[in-house]
Amino acid sequence: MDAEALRGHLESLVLAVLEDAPQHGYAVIDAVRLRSGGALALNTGSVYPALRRLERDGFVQGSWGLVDGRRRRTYRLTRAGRGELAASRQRWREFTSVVGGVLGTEEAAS
Amino acid sequence: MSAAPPLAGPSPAEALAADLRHRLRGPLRVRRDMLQEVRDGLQDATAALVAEGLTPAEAEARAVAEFGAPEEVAGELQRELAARQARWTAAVGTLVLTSLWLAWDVAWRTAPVPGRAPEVVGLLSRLTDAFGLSAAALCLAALLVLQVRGSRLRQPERLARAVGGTTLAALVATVTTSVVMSALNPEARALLVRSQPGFAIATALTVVLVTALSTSARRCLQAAAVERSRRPAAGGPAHPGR
Repeated sequence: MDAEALRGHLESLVLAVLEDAPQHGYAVIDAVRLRSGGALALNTGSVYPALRRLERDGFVQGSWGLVDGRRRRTYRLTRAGRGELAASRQRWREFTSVVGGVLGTEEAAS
Repeated sequence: MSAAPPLAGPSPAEALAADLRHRLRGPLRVRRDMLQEVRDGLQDATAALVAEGLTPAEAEARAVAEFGAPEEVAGELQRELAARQARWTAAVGTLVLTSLWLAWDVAWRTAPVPGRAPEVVGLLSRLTDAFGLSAAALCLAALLVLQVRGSRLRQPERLARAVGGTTLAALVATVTTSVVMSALNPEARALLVRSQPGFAIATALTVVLVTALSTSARRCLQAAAVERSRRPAAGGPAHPGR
């Protein structure tokens, strides 16, 4: 997936990896890499502004605390964030269904 | 005598953090938190690359290279700082402008001022009210927009510019009209000073509040100056082996 295509889904990816547990910024990057089987590497510099945007939107809440003996700012998903994640998944399903229908399969094309 | 060895400059990560620090404007605590997070992220990225076998210097250089363009990241962080500063200025503006209007309206209404003020003073008084209350209304509206529909704002710096500019303009206008009114109606002012024991305290408090609000409004305008740059690339395919 190219960087431009990834840009539109950055916030959704961040919300998805925060679903299970609060994470700090780099842990979010790590989790995305892990969940994508090593295919996706988020830029460090894009994740922090995204987390702040999500915080302004009320979808995540950030707070400072100790993680592995270091003071870190971690983010947890809020109720509104869970709603946004569900809506995001729905939009993605609709998108892939519509685009998939147009693109069809290789068997159908041949 | 041999020359002293050259002093080592800042590391790439420190230089990047310093670059961002110079670019960002806005609430100090939020700015400090943002920079600390960036440092933490670079430190984590460096540690991960060292664990993969790179030397610490190579790892740090690569972590900085993979961070993204500082001007693009600063632009996005600045947008959030503008939103924070706008929220603060709008809240303070609503409170201060409404309180001052109410307090001075009560002070003048309850003062035993004999006779009628000159016509122009009445006009200036209405103008002062209009400036102050219009700005207070805009601040309240901006606060509601930021609170309720914050997620719809893709460029909050525009709202920050409106809040800062309107508040500053309203303060200049109300202070100017108040000073002119006072100069045009010296008898009423003298009577007010004599009849209202708290007049000096109220005046001093007004000066403090107006100064504080104008400082906040100027900071709002500074925070709204977001460098025009594209959003940082979100990322891409992971490097082989990562």
